[in-house]
This record gives sequence, C-alpha cells and structure tokens, in this order.
Amino acid sequence: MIRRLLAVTLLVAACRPAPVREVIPRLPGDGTANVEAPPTDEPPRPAAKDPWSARTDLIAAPPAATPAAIKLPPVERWTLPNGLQIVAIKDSRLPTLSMRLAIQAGRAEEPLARIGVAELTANVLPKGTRTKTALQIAKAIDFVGGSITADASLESTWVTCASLAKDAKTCLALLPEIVTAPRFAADEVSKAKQLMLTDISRRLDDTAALAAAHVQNLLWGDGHVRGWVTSAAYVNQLQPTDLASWHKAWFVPNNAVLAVTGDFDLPKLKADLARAFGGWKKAKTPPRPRYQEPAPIAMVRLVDKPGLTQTQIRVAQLGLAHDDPRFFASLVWNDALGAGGFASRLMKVVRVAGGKTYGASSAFDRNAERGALVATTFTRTEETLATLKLVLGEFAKMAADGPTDDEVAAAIAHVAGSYTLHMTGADELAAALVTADMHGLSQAYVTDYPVLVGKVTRAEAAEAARDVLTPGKVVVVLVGDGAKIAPQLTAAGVAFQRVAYDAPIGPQPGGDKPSFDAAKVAAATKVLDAAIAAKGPRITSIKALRMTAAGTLQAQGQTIDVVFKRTLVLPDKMRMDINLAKQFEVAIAVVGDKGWQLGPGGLDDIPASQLPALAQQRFVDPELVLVHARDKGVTAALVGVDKVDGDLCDVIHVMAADDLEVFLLIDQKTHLLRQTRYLNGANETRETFSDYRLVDGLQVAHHRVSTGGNEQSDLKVEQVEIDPVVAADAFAKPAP
Amino acid sequence: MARHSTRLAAAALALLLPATAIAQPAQPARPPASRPAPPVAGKPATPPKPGALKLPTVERFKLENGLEVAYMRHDAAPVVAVEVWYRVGSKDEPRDRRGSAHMFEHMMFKGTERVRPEAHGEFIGGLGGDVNAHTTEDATAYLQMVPVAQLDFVLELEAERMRHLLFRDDMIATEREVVKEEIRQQDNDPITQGLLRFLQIAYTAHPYAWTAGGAIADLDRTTAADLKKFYDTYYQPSNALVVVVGAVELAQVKALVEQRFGGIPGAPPPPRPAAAAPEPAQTAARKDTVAAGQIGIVFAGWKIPPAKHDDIYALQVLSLVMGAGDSARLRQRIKAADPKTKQPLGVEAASPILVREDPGLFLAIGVYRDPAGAAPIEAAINDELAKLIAKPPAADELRKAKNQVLSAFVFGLDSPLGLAEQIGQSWILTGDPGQFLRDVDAIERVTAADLARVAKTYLTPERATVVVVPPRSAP
Repeated sequence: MIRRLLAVTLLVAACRPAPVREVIPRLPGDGTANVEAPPTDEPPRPAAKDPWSARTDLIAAPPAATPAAIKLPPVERWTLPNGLQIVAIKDSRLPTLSMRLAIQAGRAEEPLARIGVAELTANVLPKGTRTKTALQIAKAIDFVGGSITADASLESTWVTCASLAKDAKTCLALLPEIVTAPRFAADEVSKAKQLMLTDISRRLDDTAALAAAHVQNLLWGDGHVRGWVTSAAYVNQLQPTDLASWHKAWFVPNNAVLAVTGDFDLPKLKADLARAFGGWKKAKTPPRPRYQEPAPIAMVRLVDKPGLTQTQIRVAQLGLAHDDPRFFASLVWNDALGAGGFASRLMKVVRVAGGKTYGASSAFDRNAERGALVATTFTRTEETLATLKLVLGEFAKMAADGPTDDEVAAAIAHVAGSYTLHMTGADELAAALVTADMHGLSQAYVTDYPVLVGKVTRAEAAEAARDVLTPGKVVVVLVGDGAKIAPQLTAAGVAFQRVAYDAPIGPQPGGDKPSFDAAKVAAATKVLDAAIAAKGPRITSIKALRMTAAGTLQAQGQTIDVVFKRTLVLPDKMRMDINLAKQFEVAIAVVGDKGWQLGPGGLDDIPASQLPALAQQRFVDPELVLVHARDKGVTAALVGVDKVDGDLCDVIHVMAADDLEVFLLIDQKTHLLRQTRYLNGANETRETFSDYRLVDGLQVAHHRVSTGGNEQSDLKVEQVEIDPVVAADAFAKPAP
Repeated sequence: MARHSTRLAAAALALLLPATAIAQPAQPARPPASRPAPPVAGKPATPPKPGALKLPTVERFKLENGLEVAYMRHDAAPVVAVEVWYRVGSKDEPRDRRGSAHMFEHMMFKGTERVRPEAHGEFIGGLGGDVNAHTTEDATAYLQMVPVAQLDFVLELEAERMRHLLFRDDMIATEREVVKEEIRQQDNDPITQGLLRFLQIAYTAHPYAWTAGGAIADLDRTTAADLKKFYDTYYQPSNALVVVVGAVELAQVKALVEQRFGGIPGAPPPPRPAAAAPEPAQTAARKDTVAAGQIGIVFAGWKIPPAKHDDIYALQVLSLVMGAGDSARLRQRIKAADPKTKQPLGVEAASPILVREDPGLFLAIGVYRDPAGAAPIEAAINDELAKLIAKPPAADELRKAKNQVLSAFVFGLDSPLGLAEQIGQSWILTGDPGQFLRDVDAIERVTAADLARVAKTYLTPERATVVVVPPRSAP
C-alpha cells in the first residue's frame, strides 16, 4: 500500500513506526531471570555488580488478576434469506457507524495462474460500480468525512465503510453497491495494477518485506499457495475479466459475514440491510483448493543485497491451525519464547543481553488452515551468524524443556490480561466474533479466551512446545550483504542457497514446473533408499513382474467382480488381462508408445489420447515406482508429511519427463509404501496398500484399495511372480 | 519498544490513510477511522457540538514544583491511560549529540534505584497493559494503558523514573547498540534517505534539520556524563505534563499525583538551543536529488509558521483539500490520465502537514515509476497550488474538508490512549492541553479565501524545497 508507505516513510524518518492505536506492548523481563548464558562466540562481558540486590524497597509487581470470561454486550445475529450472516453490536457512546463485510476468500483461493487476483480485485472494488464512477464514490464518502476500503488477506477479503452515524446512509448505499456490482473498468484496473507493481518494486528496498516473502516461499515451497509470492509478471497478466470471474465466484452472500457496530436503531438497521443486500443473489462457491503441507526440513536461504549494513533474519516452521487443541498452550509457551515482548527469551537474549538487535519476536499465524510460526529479528551484518545461533538456541531450549513456572505465570498474566484489556469496544468484539465464525470457532472462544489461557499448566505448555516445535528442522532466511554473510555461514559449516535480492521468488508465469530445493531432493533420496531397503533390495534388479488379484470394482453406482492380472516387463512393456463380472474378458497391452486392446467390442489400437493414462499406470505400479523414482531424468523431493490410516508417512513428490507425476506416501516407521496419489484426468486417484507379505525376498502389499473420481476398487492379491517366464508373444497384437 | 515519533506526521498522515488493519485474521479490529483530529493552535473558542455529541472536557492543574497535570474522564471501559510528556526533543540536542533525546528515552526503561532494568515494562505487561514511548523533534512521551485499579501503581513508576534513574556504563554500552540497530533500519532505505536529505536542506539553521533518529557517529560519542546532564536538565517536574484519561475521578487523580510527584523539588527552566537558531526566511528554491530507489518519489515542501500561529488552521484545511481522500485535488491530479500523454503522472500522492512548536512543514509528495516522472509531478504540484490561489475552492469542497476534520475528531474520541496523545500534543504545541477540543471550531471558521491567502503567502515556488528520489531505471 503506497499510502501506507508514505506514512511509514515519514514515521520511520522520525523513528516511530507505530501510531498510538497500535502501541506494541513493552513487556516484562528484568534482563537476568530465566536466561541462560547465550551460546555466543564472544567473550562474556564481566558481570556488573547488581545495584538492586541489597535493596529492600524495590517497587513490587501488583498481583496478577485472575483471568475471567469476557462479558459481551448484547450481540444481535441474523441471516438474510440470501444467506448473508449479520452480526451487530450497538454502541451509542459516539455518533459513529462502522460496517465491515468479510468475504471468505482471499489469496489462499487464488489459482497459480492468477496470483494477485484477490488483492487486485479488492483494490478495484471501490473504483467504480454499474452506476457510479470512482470519482463519484470518492466524493460521496469524502464529503461526509468517512472511509471506504477493501483489502484481501490470506483467507478473506474485508470491505469496510465507516462514517458519522448521521451519514450512515452513505455507507448503506456505497458498500452494498461496490460489493455486489463493481465495474472493473479497464483504466481503474490499470491504475490499481500500477500501484501493486509499485508495491512489488518497493519490496526490493524494504528488507523486512523481502525477508517475509522469502521465508514463506522457503517454508511452504513452490507447490503450495502459501509459498507463492505476488510478482510483477503475474500482476501484468491480470485482466479485468479475471477480476470479474474472481468476483463472480466468491462474492456471494452465502460466503460473507457482515459486522455492524456503533450508534444504530436495530429495527431500522434490519430494514435498511434487508433492502441494501436483499437483491444480492445466492450462489454456490467453487471448491477450495487444497495443498500438501511441507515436511519439516532444515534449509537456509541467503538473499544477497550487497551493501546492506543490517541483516534481516527469519526462522520459520509450521505452526497451528486456529482450532488446534494445542492453541492455548502454545500461546503460553510462545509468549515465553518470543511473543511476550521484553518478558520473552528472544528479546532478553538477543536485545537486552547481547545488544544485537532492536527487536526479536516470534508469532503464530491465526488462520483457519494451519499457518506458520515465524521468528523475526535483525542485526548488524557482522553479528548475523551469532544472532541466528541465539534464535535457534532458544527454539531448541523451548522444545526440550518448555517454559518455566515463572514464565507460564507471566505469560498467562500477559496474554489473558491483554486480551481482556483490549476486548472492550464494539469494534474489537465484532471483529473477533466474525473471525471466530470464519474459523469454525464458537462465540465461547471469544468470551472464554482469558479463562482458557489461565487454565494452561506448565506441563501442558511444555508438551505443546515439544510437540509443535521442530528445532533442527526449521527454515532460515537471511537478507543482507552476501559477501560478508556467506563466509560466516561457510566457516560454521552451514549449508545454504544464495539468491540475488532481485531474483523472482517462487513460481513465475510460463516457467517450468516448480523446481525442488536441493535439501528436499536429498531428503527424498534418503527416504527412497530406506523404502527400497525395506521392500527388498532385489527390487532394483528384477526384469519382470506378474501379479494376479481379485476383488470388486465400484463404478457408476454398480459393484462388479473383477479378476485382474498384470504383467510388466522392463523397461516399457505392460499387459493387463481383466475379467469383469465373471463375463467379459478384456486384454490391454502397451509397448513403448503403442498399444492395443481386445475386448467384447473387438480388437483396436489404443487411441493416442489414452496412452498417457496407461503410461501413468505403468509408472505408478507399486512394485516398480520406487525404482522409477530414482531413474535418470526423474526428480523426487520430500514435500510433506501426512497420515495413512493414522500412521505418519513422508510424502515424496515424483516428477518425470512427459508429465508423469505421482506422490508416494512412505511409512516413517516401516518404510513401506502405504499410498500413491496421482491425477487420472481431472480427478485424483489414491491407491492404498496394506497386508504386506514377503514374496521371494520382496515385501508385497496383498490388499490394494483404489479410490478416485467415481470409481473405487478393492483387490486382494492372489499371486505374485518375480521374473516370471513371459510368453514371447504376450505383447504382440493378436491377429484380427 | 521505546520509539520516538513525529506524532504530527502521524496525525496528518492518518487523515490520508485508509484503515485496513482489520483484515488481520483473528485480531480485534481497529475502528476504520480512529484518526486523531489535527492538534493545532488557536485562541480559545466555544466548543463545537457535532450532532448530539457531549464534548469531553480537559481539567488541568499544577503542582507547586511546576508539574502540570491534565485529566479527562473516559468511561467506556475500566481502563486508564497515563502518559508523561517531557518538553524535550531532538531540537534540544547539542549539534554533536544528535539522537541523544531518543537514546535517553531508552534509558528510561533501563532501571532506577527501586526498579530493575526492563521491570517497568514487565510490570505493565503482567497487567495486560500497553506501554511504550516516543521521541519527536519537540517532545518525549511515555505512555501506558492499564486496568483502572492500577492508576496509582503507574504514577509511582513514572514518579520514580522522573528523578531516580541509574546510569551504569555497561548498560549504556549495550543499549547504545540496540539504539544503533533501530537507527540502522533506515540506513538502506532510499526513500527515508530522501526525506532526511529534504529536512537537511529545508532547515539551514534550525535543529529541525535532523530527526529524533540522530546520527550513529553522535551516538558513539554520547557518554554517561552527557546522559546524566541531559536527565538533570530536562527530566524535571517543571518541564513535564502528566496526562490521565480514564474511568477515574478528578479528586482521585489530584490526590494521587500530589502524593507521588509532590515531593519532587522544582528546577530552573532548561536551556532552549533552538531559540538561538531561528530559521531564516527562505528566498530561493532549493533542490536536490538523492540515490535512486526502486520507485520514484518527489518531496516538495514549504516551511510554515509555528503551531501557535493562526494561519495553521487554514493550512490544515488546505492539506486536506489537496490530499485527504481519493477525491482530493493532488491525488486526483497525479493519478488521473494526463490529457496529452493519456498516462497518469504517478501512482500516488499525499499532502501531509507537519505542525511543530517552531516552524513546521507543508509537504506535497508524489510517487511515480517513469524515470522521467519527477519534473511533470513537480510542475503539477505547483500548478495545483496556483489554481487554488487563482480561484479559492467552492463551498462544497471546503465543507468536505471540514467534515473530514469533524469525523476524524469524533472517531478520535474513542480511545483513551489516543486522547491522551492529543492532550499531550496540544500541550507541547500550544501550552494548553485542552486546545485540541477547540480546534474543530476554529477550523469551522476557516474560509475559502483563507486557503488562497495562506497558499499565496507560504506555498510559493521560491520558498519551496524539493528532493527527488529517482526510480532505478528498468533493467
């Protein structure tokens, strides 16, 4: 936001980033308590004499208040016939009225090809409707001294309008119109694109913003929406029609919540809102895209901007979803780690004891979906490695031991007290209630928050810290002078990737498929080696394989029996003989890039359009796919962790040339392949393997369940032959 | 976090800024327009009555040692905001100790005779409260917001650090590095460098030539003895204002402030180096270009009278007419397509006003991307001012600006901490903590002819200072 930038510029020049409403708590920490000696390479400073130890008249902290539930004022909730939910809290102290509409779609719903569309759409919303130009809207709201804004965040888009209560009719007219009937005029889209491009350019001069973009990309990867970074190339591609499509898909009343606060008359407000939003048509929203969570891996990225005198440091790992049962316990340990201002360990160790920084903190995202935990600090170039070590050291200590009793008490007092102190106005309450709604949390989440924080015990906090933190498997981003930082890392034996500060971040339009980080590829190699060892090493040397299985196939609402025999001869021959419903025999064979099929309908060549699907079948065969994953020209990367039947599995993304692609889920304990996931047309197919038995030195899954699209199969393996004798003519096309 | 600020820049810019902070997931919303009204000077006037609004009042009283106290009742929540304002900022610094006022602000958290280092902040945090500080050219302020029952506790802490700070060399050495990291954040930002250069050439004599950030070399020179001398000179009751806003009674505030601060002895008035360095009238335009950034920015600015001058009101309305809201003149001009080229001159514009105790600044800012964009933007700024001088704004446009002031004023009454800030700022700028309550009325009296007159008097090309941060050419 450039207007924000202008503000920041003037403020920064005068050294004050925060307007008074955003006062950052400056918090506990006496500089000595609970701090172990920082693991630094510097000689320790001689301890100064403590001038307070002998005093008996020190000012003491007042006792902390017992956390109590928040008392809500009357909250009015109703839903319009079109599905728009409304939350209203009356507050007549001041003659003002604020309306905030949350659309439940944001950057997380953007398709890769349309990165930036959520933000651009929001920015253009107030710039013209079917009946009003941008200037007319601006004049109307400016004349009453009000404000109208729209902003896209990760999971939602907020449109707000605020004015004096006597001018509420202005917001009641403008807000529904810009939300339901925006025009997306080409010249306004063009202006808004220029502003976004300016923000994107500006990021290269703003090391904190640059570090924030890189750390999300490094943590989530190019294959996850949270790893994508808005770039000039993507913004340049966006067209008014993209904005209109985005708006049409998501801006529907049944996907929105409206909060109204201030001085209103409830019956009149109900009538006004029914009139203002009544014509907004209900519609089904598209399915929300889902992504594979990344696996915890240690990676370091050095973003090189020559000449910088200060290094921005970020340390990140996966965090929590907002409704995670460990949420409140994690608030407590994270307050002790880095969210508690001067009471937190990061601040004490990096700022107070070391003088290495002005600020050090750690924060969880609060999203419906699982977010990140990011620690943030910065230091002069020479202290980069030493400061990073301090931060990593605190992560490790918190994971190992959790917070102390004193820290838990201080964190509860701070977190519960701060929530209580700030959750007093109608605006704050309404926003918290709407967010709770969108995150699937109840109103009790808001009212009981301080009480739930207060109930957290040291044991619970320590367990949550141990459970959530993954020390040793965090990603690190350093934005600074590469020539001076690289030697520090190298001398310490830290492996890192180095990128130029102005290099594109993450996937780019027209680029190749996402490429994998070396660390993820190396991690995948280890997992695959273990999987092959578990399977039986001879799998790498077999020449042919035949499997016979029987079971059922469900398709189009029918269940039929199936007997299935598949013969594979390496490198590129496959034949399948299938008996369906004990009646029909079908034979399919593929050799290289040709194939035939023989069935009740006769003998045919396989059409070219179906060959890729068969190639995919050959590629994902559960016996041989482990070997294929290590073939030349095939890339495999560890991209995540997921569960199959409750067991943790590493997720390996395997990509070969000619678009062959599969995810392998390999059991972390047994190292056996538990599931494959791949696209079959537009649908994802999942094949799940169980009942492993040893056959001639190979572990073979004897139960295979496949689901995908509208089909499901359930097969029991009856016979497996390793290197069978295969008839010479098995793959030859029969005579007609 | 102990920061410092140009509160006025914040106030002026807040009028321009959309409040988008509510889009943060699961965080309480901030009112979209919690914008403090511009704190300015003026003669007492009848308080305005916007709608049915019952206007709050500021009570003020003084202790024998010279400490001033301002109190406003605010019953919305069981909280109280307590601020202590010291009349000392970067303009009071010796020229070879730039940054010492801000560095001193950090010292105020580093321990007193009866409070361990950082414990002040720890105590407030344990109450769930907010605590911070800021330093500007004119003032240093310490703020807290706590449950109402803790008023006395906060006053005790503030009284303690007003006169019982401890100076220890090892603490100073470490904290100096912290302050340097705070300052270093702006080292590599071309836009910040551009603004700092702007101030440097706009002020040839007056210490407004530098900001509270100061200079790292000067910080290295600052000794414990310097800091102690600074403390004894400026951190005295007769140089301070205590502000209390919240759900407490006046009688209680009087008793507690007297009890906690009454015993502190008075002190002589401190020296005011800025008084000996008045800024001479500018008679020729000044221009400079600094190192390129990723985006281009034009800073144009004119010195304006001190806060107490009556023309400040008209200049504030002018700042709104030029830059507040999407429909404002300068923002429309810079962002609309040029009739000749069919391209907009730039991507964004603003016209903040920095009202200060001594002569402040009226700024016009344009943000652009085209490497050749600076000159047309500068010309457009001058042209917009010339148009306004030639033809004063119509009644509607003037009404719009006044409505913006009124609305911002009303939204600004919501927050105890925001009100305490306005009270402190009023005191620094005008000597009267309640002045901001009367400013709306004074703004109401501004005429269209006043706007043209002040533009013609102060915002002329020969009085302009322009600094350009050019955009790096496309690769």
